[in-house]
Amino acid sequence: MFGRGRKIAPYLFISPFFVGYAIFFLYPVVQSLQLSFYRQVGLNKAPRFIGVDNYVRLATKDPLFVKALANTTYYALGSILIIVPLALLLALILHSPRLRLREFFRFLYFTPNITAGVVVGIIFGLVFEEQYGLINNLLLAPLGVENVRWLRESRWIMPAIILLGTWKWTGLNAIYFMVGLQNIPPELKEAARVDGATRWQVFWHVTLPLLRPILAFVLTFAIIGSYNLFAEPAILVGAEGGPNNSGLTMTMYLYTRGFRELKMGYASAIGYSLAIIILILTVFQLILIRAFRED
Amino acid sequence: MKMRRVCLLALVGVLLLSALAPVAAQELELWTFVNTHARWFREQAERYAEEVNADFSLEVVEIAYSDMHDRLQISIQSGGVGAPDIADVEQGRFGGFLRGGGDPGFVELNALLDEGGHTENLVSARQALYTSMGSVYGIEHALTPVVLYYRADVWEGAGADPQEFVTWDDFVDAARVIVAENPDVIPLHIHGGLHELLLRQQGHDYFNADGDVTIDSEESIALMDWLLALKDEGVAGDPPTGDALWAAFKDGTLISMVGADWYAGFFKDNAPELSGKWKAAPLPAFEEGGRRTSVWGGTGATVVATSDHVEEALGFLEFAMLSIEGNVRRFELTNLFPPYIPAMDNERLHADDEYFSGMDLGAVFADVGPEAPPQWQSPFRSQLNSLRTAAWQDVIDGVRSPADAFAEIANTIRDEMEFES
Repeated sequence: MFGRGRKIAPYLFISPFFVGYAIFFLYPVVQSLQLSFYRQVGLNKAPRFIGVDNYVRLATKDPLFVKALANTTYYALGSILIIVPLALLLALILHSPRLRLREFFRFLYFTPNITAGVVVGIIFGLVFEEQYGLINNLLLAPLGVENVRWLRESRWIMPAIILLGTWKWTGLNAIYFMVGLQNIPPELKEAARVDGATRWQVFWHVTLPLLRPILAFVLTFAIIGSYNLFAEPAILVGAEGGPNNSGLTMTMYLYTRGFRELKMGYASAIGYSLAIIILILTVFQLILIRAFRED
Repeated sequence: MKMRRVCLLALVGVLLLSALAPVAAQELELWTFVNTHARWFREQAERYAEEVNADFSLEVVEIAYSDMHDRLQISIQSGGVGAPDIADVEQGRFGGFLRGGGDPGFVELNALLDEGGHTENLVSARQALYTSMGSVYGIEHALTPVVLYYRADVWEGAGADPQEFVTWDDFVDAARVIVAENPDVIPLHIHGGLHELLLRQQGHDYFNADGDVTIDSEESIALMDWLLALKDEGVAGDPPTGDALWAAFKDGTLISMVGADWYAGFFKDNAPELSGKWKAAPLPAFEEGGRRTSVWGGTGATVVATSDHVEEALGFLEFAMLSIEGNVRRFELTNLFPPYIPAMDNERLHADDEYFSGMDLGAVFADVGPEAPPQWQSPFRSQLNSLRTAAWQDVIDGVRSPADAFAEIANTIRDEMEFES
């Protein structure tokens, strides 16, 4: 009796997580997979099985889906190409033994990350405002640049969102890189120096290769995060993505189709397409930086 | 051990209290996205509690436009979790609740309206916006007659009297004089609803009576081309939106507004410092003898079907929205002109309005009201609005032609109609 209780007890202790996981995650995931093969439009309406029609429509007859995919990819590329090198640079500076107030700077770069996306969206709405906003008035006007219509002209919307993303995510990624830098044994760098390597050669041939696991981690999360971008652009330009839908991301598209037009089946198909795209990109990226290589 | 028992008792007590509290208070919840409506609802709820039902109390929750409608749809979709008892639904979003032909999740009001003898007291063209297959789900707040609001000091200072304008040509001629003096001024502000409401002034709309999409009609394209030509000439312009819009009103860049009755209340709330500088006139017509108004916007009050207090909610709505006193008071507080016919000739609608230079604003609305054109609801209206909003800036900037953009929108909607049929 006692023995059996002891066997069950640990499972009971960890069960709340699994019960919650099953109800709030597993069930909706399975349910929405099923729903993606149905047409369900409107409130209180029974779903009707339509096979892969939703997926076919997404791939062949929905220019807005393609646009959302292109916008999101634009954001992902833009933010990764800017944020990752910038974060690495910041980490190298923060890692420097000569830096004073290091803890203060770490805290400073981390704060954007703990600010809610909605708040960030509202504040950046003021920052990007074309007539009275901070960027146009304090940064661009002194340089003689005319007012940029950040949130009204379609070609400026994504750059504005990328700037916001850079502000928000660079600090966090710099902290990941710092952890990686701290785990590199100093002997390796010293040995390289003794062998006559320049600082650049040390960085390129010693530091960077040893950072590869961290790089894989940062890139994976950057890709997932980029393709899940929602709150900031939704607040900044509205859930439809603003002028010409230029700020429309995949999750915003899912949200508006599902919760605004009440097309739950179609929205489920968008969700699964998004999951598949993220999976493919992540695997591709991991192969590219050879994260699976054992060394 | 003792400590544990005390903690347990306290926990049980808190749980019991929180379970009992809502029942004891019998508080109803109302969602709205307009602060003018909220103000009036709060006052009516107090009056209802005083005069009819002492147990009645109403919590009026203000939520931003898109969020409120999105949340309402989601909570109805999920069987009423977190849904309010009463909700304001804007006509542009109402169609979305009808999408798919299912039950929109609101209480049918036919019995209340017919048995109470209210149906013939309401303007049928407004009620049509909240009606589907004979079932009425909402009660309109405003007649929404569109008038020309203008800065009397600026226009009269330039020697023009907008009260005397007969056609839009008169307006444009006077506007040219003002712009020649001061090129920074925007006499006609092309806001997001202008094309739509002027199209209705001409007797057309984005959907026709049969529910077909008509945003790509010849008239619709010609009207947009006309507005863009005025913009090229400097007579019309597209000012910023949001807070910056009110800044542009305050600094005198914007000197007119083609808007509905509810815009009068927006002026008072958002630009109180311009009090005494504005007036209102009937819209100029597109040809002599033509219609001098349009309709724009409108919001219906609904009772959410999952509410535990449907009877109380209906009683309150009847008291507030289907009475002369309620309708007149709403005009006094918010300038919404009553869509409730028995209230229309009430003398309190004709008080001098200090904000509008001491004018009898109610008389302007009452004057043009009978000419108000109908507007057709469609389950696809909210999606069309989304598509149009997205294309709007490119059309205004001349990146895309109206013909091209409107055809694409119309075809997308037609394709959706077919896919869902």
